[in-house]
Amino acid sequence: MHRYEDFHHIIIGDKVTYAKTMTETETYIGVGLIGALNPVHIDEEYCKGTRFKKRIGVAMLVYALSVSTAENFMVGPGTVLTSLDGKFVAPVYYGDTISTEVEVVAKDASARTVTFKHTMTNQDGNTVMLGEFTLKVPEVK
Amino acid sequence: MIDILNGKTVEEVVIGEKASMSKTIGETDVYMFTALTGSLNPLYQNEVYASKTEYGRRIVPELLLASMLPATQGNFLPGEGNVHLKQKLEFHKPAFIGDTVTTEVEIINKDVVKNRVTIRNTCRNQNGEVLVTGEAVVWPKKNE
Repeated sequence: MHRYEDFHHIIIGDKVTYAKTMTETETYIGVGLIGALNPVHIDEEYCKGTRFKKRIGVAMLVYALSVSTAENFMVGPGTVLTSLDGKFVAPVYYGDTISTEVEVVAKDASARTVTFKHTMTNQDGNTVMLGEFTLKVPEVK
Repeated sequence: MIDILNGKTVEEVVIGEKASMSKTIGETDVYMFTALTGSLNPLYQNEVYASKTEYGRRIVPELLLASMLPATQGNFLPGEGNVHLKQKLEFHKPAFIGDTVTTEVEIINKDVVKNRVTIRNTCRNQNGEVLVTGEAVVWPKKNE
């Protein structure tokens, strides 16, 4: 299943970018799945009185775009997330096109882990999120 | 009527205060979450593949578990209106479809001047095993 079982093809400094328009639909399904009632995500009238003025996305759901990008395009399907460290520096609004740049910063073939850093920007080039995360590839018998 | 719009300000939260939330994770949750996040991960959606790994069966996406933590923070503590600024997490054990996951969020620090609260995060399964630990920083709502 993994293209890079031995990690030889995962090169430190390699980068991949991927972009997606983040929609109201995703957030609405997402908040249903996780049981989130915070009106900053779902109540437009409430949000008129906040600093952001509009409904904003759920940071952890936006973060998932970077993890999926790293898995799908760099490591190959079949990874588990072992740790993450993220900063959410600006809000993501519904309809924003978020581009993630994911870069390999470390790998450990014996531990079967790859560590990435990622920067996520919106269509105006403003950074919305950045951080690091580590994926592990479990062995298959 | 219970008003859920009861979020606390940085002045109102108390260090040591805790909140939690539980949910039995259904197969539906996993399949909808993988569709939302563009995941093709066979550990989440291929029982035969997953049975050949150390886990033995399909696992729940780690970020689905992780997302229950800000949900707990947004619902209960500090509650409505808070905005997520930072998150650190470590994933120790997977959850499986059908597991009942309980979150715990605990206020461990607050900065009234910067309007920031630091929160300890934990997710456990129905056997009390720790699945996820971490720390979040949020802006609680401000009463303007």
